[in-house]
Amino acid sequence: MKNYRRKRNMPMYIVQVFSVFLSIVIFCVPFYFIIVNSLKNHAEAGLMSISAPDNLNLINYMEVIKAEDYAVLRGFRNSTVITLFSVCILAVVCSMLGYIMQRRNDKVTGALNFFVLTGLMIPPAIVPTIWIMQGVHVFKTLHGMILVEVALHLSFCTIMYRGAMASIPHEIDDAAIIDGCGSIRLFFSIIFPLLRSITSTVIIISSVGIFNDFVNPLFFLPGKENVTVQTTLYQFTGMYFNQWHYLFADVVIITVPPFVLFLFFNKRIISGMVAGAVKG
Amino acid sequence: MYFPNLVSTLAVGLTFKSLMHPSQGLINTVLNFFDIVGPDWLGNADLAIFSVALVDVWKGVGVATVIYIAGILSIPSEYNEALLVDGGNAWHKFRYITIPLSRGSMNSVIILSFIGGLRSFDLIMTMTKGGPGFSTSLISYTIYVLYANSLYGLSTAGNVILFIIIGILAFPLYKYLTKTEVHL
Repeated sequence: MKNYRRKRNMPMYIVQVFSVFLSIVIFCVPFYFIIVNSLKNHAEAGLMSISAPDNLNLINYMEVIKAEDYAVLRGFRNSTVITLFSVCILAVVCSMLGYIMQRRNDKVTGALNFFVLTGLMIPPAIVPTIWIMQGVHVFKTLHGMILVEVALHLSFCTIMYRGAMASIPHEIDDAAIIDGCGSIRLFFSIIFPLLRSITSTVIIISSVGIFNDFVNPLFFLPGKENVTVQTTLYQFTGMYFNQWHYLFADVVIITVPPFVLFLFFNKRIISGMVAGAVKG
Repeated sequence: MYFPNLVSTLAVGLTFKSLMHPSQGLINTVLNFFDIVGPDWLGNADLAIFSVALVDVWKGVGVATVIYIAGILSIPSEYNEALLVDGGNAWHKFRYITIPLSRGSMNSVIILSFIGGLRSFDLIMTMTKGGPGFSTSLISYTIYVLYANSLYGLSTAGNVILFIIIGILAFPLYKYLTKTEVHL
């Protein structure tokens, strides 16, 4: 393998350095742009340049948080509640569903497979969903929104879990059953701990997805009291027309939680993906 | 590389809307520096849809890369050793081992971005609002506009059309892709 590397010639090396440089420019400049502009005052931000600000206007952040009677903080509370509960439900329900779908092989699993795949492909219809939500009295409530998010992410998470389950040998189940382990205990104290890496992948992907979801809260969670962080950002685009410094300050604020989550789970994403998505 | 996915689509749309500003935006400023007159990325009816697609790609690269890394990591190293023994170079390795054996992840990426593209809504909403004219108004955006104007019946009809289109396009694509997949 080492010999192989040494053969790499000069033009190849230049191409590599150039492409790394190019990807850094393409991927980092927009982030730098957001942060720099969130610290500028109105006149400077209007110029839309990437030069450093004259002085740090941290007051932008305070202004954004105070705006609309602390709408951002309310948004944070609502988004956190929705994300937390949805992800907990998803992790438990989808792992059980994936377990059954991988282990059993009969007509029901065939139908389940079809439904899960359909759920991944078909977009939700707005009006019928609202009609159903009104029918069970959960429209415009946080728990209604949690149910919607769970339903929308169910397919993806189940497919991930089903793929990961294939790498857990059948013999483990058999051994546990022979030792007199009940089915609930078999799942929660033997299978579920073995699925830890895929669980962290599912947690990060679905929680970032739910936290950053804008479309569904827009349709299914209207009302001033029920804002989520993304809908506050959308309100601000109307309110702060062309006041880019406030908009970017808001963007920075709402990107912090996914970023922190990412730092925690960073290493596990790829290992979970290896287990789940590819073998699926 | 994964960072673009952490920022919400809404924020990405806003950022690129200002980066693509025709006179002051950063992209055109850089192009001007090289004496190229940059186009009006979002104001030109022929170009706007491609600008939005470009931003969608920028955002999607992170996830696609993670899926590909996962796929490539799961290729057994025996194949590379066999190739070295037979005297293949880097291009051969890429063409005859990496590409065919990461077909599983390629299929996931194709299906996910295909469906995501058909359903995309946030970027259109923040960047162009369907304009200029109707050049970037996708089905999902039309559904939203109809819904916002209280035309609930028409909006649900739009949903049914989107459902049928995805069904017609995505299921055969999925069938075709899984049929041609190489199994390890």
